Amino acid sequence: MIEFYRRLYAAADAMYKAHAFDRTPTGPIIAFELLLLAFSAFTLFWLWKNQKKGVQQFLLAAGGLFLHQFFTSPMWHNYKLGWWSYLYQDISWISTFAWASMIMWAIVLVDRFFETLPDWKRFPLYLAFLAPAALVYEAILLKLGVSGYSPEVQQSISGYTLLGTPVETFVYVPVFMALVVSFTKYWSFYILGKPVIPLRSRPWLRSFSITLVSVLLFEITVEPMVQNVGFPAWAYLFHDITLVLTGAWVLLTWLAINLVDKFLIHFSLRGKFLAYLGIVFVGVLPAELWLIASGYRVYGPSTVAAFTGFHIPFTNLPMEVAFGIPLYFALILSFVKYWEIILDNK
Amino acid sequence: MTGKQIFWSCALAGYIVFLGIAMNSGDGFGGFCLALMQSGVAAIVGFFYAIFKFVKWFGKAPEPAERGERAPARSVRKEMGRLKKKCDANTAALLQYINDALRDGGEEGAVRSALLDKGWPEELVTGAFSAYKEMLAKYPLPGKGLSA
Repeated sequence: MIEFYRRLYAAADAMYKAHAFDRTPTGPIIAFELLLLAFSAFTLFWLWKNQKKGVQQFLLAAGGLFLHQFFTSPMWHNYKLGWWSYLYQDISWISTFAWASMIMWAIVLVDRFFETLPDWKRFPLYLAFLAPAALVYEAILLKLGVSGYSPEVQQSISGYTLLGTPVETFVYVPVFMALVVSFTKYWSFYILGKPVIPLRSRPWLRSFSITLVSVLLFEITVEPMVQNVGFPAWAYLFHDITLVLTGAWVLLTWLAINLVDKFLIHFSLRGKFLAYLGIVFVGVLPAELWLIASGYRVYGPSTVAAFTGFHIPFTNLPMEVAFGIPLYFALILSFVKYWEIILDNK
Repeated sequence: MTGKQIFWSCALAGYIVFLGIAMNSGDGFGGFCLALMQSGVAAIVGFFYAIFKFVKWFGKAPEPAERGERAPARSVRKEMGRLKKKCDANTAALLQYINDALRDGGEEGAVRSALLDKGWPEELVTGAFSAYKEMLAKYPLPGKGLSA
């Protein structure tokens, strides 16, 4: 047992040294962190006092964000925030809480001021509220020297800026926020015990369209992280997003959702979600293994550098990819199911 | 916020801070914390949770009426679980929806017509409502939903 801990200790130490970066904060950065903490504390207190299960909803938003930050972290860096603020590599919990606060205010304000609007009309308003807030937040982080982008991201952006922030932020923020807000709202249905009407006959076509949008949104957000190479020219849709792979993920997700909703209709939202995730994971894991082994999927240098070096036993699959599969599909599935629920429960 | 929620919130917050220190402290301390985290945190949390439950159980158990809606709601939840196991999947799904919708403040008529609108056969909906009412006769929910 002691030997096991000694090895674990050595591995953790090596991991820390391999991913060392500048963590020393400046005065303005500490001041900004304190501001973010005060903002998050105020948000939490307000939610606790005024919103039913508000704290749990805040934690849901933070959880959804962390999922996204976890597997997209190689695309950018968050340095100089001080040793106390990092959760995993350069992912900062202070930043996660600040984002979660922004999301919760967007949801609370839109839900209060546009109460009469149906959910599907409120959804774009959440994103419209969040996009400028995120732009200002990102501009401050860039100005302070905290934020920065990986070489792969810098290659894929146009170079045009607004407030010192790449204009692509205006596309990226609504896209990833659409996934995180859906995740928060879907699980809010569960924790608030909201009634979700069961469907006698499944709208297969509508479900396919929503799944297609969801997978495409996701592919756009992680596009610089991984290269899909060796596919026929006709298969490429945008940059290296391919019809073959995207099509396969869409088909698998769509089938998982529809089969579970048909045959496990009596399961709770949580039970169904785990079933979707289980089916998708079982399908995607061998596919990902095969794609990496055959050279069709090549992870970018920044992504590889962020890997800890642990692999799934007897395979060449990095641990982060195996963990990443259920994490990113959790966001995709939440988006699809949230939209299905709000369209069916008008 | 109940005691249980406060406890779990504190445990989660502590765990996050602990994880942060473990991952970022350097000089080997991170490794030590990781090892400790592997075995220690689960045991500590489990130990305190067991004490918390024991104290709660050992103290004077309040009467169901004093505990407000929690006790009847829990009974309904348990009974719902039993009932759902006895039915086929479709009826179980309808039962769950009826329970959630009525507890959310819905009216019986509105809930019934929402189900019929979604194409559910009338006899299935009526059957689910009857089963739900039978259950409520045993475990009435105070002040909400429909009564038997």
